[in-house]
Amino acid sequence: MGTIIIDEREFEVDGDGFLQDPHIWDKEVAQLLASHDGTGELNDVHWKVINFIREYWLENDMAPMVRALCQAAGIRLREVYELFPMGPAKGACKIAGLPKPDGCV
Amino acid sequence: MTISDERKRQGLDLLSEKMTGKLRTHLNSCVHCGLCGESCHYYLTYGEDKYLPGHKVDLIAGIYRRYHTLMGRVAPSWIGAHDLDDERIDEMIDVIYGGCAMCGRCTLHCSVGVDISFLVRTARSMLAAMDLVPASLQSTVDAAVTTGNNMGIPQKDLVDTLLWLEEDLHMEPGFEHAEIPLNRKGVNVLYTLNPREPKFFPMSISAMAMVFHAADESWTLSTDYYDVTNYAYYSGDDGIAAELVQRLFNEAGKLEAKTLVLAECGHGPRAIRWEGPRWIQTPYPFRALTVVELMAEYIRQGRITLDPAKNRETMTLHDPCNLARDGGVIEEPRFILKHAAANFIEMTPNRENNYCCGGGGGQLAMGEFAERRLRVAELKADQIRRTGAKIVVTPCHNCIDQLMEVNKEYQLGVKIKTMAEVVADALVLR
Amino acid sequence: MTVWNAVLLTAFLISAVSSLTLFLKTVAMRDDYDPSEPKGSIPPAVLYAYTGAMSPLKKETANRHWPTYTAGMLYHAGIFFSFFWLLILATGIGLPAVLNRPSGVLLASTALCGLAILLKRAVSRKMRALSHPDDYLSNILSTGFQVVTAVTLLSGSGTAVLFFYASLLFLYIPVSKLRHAVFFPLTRFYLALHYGRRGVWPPPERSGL
Ligand code: SF4
Ligand code: SF4
Repeated sequence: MGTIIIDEREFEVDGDGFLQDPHIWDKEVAQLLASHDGTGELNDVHWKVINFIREYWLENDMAPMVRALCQAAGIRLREVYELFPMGPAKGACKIAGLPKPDGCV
Repeated sequence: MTISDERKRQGLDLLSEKMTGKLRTHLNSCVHCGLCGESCHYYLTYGEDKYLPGHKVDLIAGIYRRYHTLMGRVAPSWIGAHDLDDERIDEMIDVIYGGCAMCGRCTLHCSVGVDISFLVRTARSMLAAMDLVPASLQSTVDAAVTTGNNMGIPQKDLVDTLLWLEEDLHMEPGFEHAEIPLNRKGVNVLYTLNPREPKFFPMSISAMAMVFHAADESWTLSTDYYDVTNYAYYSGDDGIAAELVQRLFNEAGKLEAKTLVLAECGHGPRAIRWEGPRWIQTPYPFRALTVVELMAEYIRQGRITLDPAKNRETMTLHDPCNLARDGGVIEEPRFILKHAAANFIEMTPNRENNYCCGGGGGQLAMGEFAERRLRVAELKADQIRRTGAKIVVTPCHNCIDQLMEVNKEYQLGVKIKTMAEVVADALVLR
Repeated sequence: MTVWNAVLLTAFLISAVSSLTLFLKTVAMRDDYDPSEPKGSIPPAVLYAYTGAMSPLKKETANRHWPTYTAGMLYHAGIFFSFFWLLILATGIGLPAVLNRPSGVLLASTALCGLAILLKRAVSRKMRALSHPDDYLSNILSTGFQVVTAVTLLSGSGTAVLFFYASLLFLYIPVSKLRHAVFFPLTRFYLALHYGRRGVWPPPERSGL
């Protein structure tokens, strides 16, 4: 679909900017994606959310519900949208290297 | 792309099957005046001939002329009659799926009155009959068919989320006894959801629960079938579209609901409220209406009281095309905002003349054409910027997602909200 | 009745019968049964489709394109006016000769509008991309019809050329895009069914809930 270049690293992404190959993902990639979409420097809480999403996806082959994510990271719903300005799907899931979920996102 | 003759036949057969007086009329009416370009956000953005609404009409009308008219058989090139060949098919996929939001704006303004978006959907149906729906759109349709909702949410996850929301609701003062009733029989209102709500953006569910509580409504959600979307409307596949409507129809019957209320969505209510009865060839024994109309009713009947002072920030409204221009839900959102917001500003143009947010027509689901989707939205971004509003409210989750991206892309610095959230924020409890 | 009268009458009958067949066949075609509960009402929408909705203030194809729109309206008025004169001349109803000159001048100017539209079609890239040979010929026949009528009226010459030309035009209508004349009223009607049922047409009183 296309490539994006962040800090001289090139990534194959789909039309919406989700990684084409979710398996090239690592922590460094996550940080690069986060800087690219305006989320900024990832802190501990960000990481809690991202790691949870990543593990959940590896196990279940889909993104977790936002509820599960809040409970796992011990945050309130409102905080998710503050932590990830692009929201849980186009923000958090994208940074966690998931493919784009179906539906209105 | 090489398409077998067998598949092409299927596309052509579909056109013949769908041939009604209405279709035949619209296929014969375009005069190639070319004046519709300036009403289409694709043409206005790119200025390329292929995006002219009249050209989109010709893509299918040319095929009609070739196979259904005398001149098309004897002198095709004279009247622009065209074989359904591989080249034509590629062009159709690119423009019919990738270059049109089926927003109907051109239809309203066409010199003659050609229902262009209806022809575009018919062309999509032909492509769907040939198995040529873009993969990403098809996958959203498939998810709905196989899992019962377009995001593939397992039932248990849905229930957990709804219980969690209800618990959370009880912490709000005044809502200690508010409920999110599940699968309750014989209630007045069966409410629906866009799967995006429970999955990622549940604030609008809580907001509606608050409104229902304030209105003292007897309502329920079904955990078996609740999806308000119908992406087969956009893929063009009438068989699946009908199947999805039938499921919701059955669910309303099973729960003996008196009213089916359609959540904030543009194409969903269009598919269910307007196209659905035709697809399943059955009138609904229950009342079907959108949640926007319902909330307007609550206000009019005095069932809820709102204080506009609770929403002081300047607010503008984006009319979802399918809800306004093709669903007649035009004055209701304004009526609601008059009661719920202190500083409401219209964008121009508005109502049935609004511009698409760019995400309609299944564009939001089609990653293949995501770049265009954001570029054509510049028009909408400018419209929003000109209002100077701090909040954009729109009763459609698809529009909301698109507008969130537009907000970032064009650095608008606004907040995007659902109507239910705005109303819930303005509620005055008695 | 001259030979040319006969030719004209024959062409007219062929055209009228085919056009009528086209129209009736379309009207008689199956339409989907639509059991959706209407939000608006259809009769006022039908009325609106042929009146208010046609107002240039309501349509961007008019108000974003004033010159073309104006030329187009005059051009179409000229076609109808030519048909009116054709009827007068073919039936031999005498009209005061003093009307010939102004009518001829009027038709010459509406023909210029048709010519302008033809030129636009031939010159503009966008219009060329949208046009087929049929579009050019359809315009040439309709514009030429006005020219020939004008010349006939201004020169006071015989009607043979006019009748021959009009016969060609008649015969071309049902097999070309000129058939939009047959479909136009139906198009408005179907649109009214759509927007009327859904409560979009006629536009409701603003905020008058
Ligand atoms: S329906 Fe909308 S996007 Fe499609 S051609 Fe018409 S104006 Fe353009
Ligand atoms: S405005 Fe209508 S008639 Fe003119 S080119 Fe566009 S679709 Fe055809």
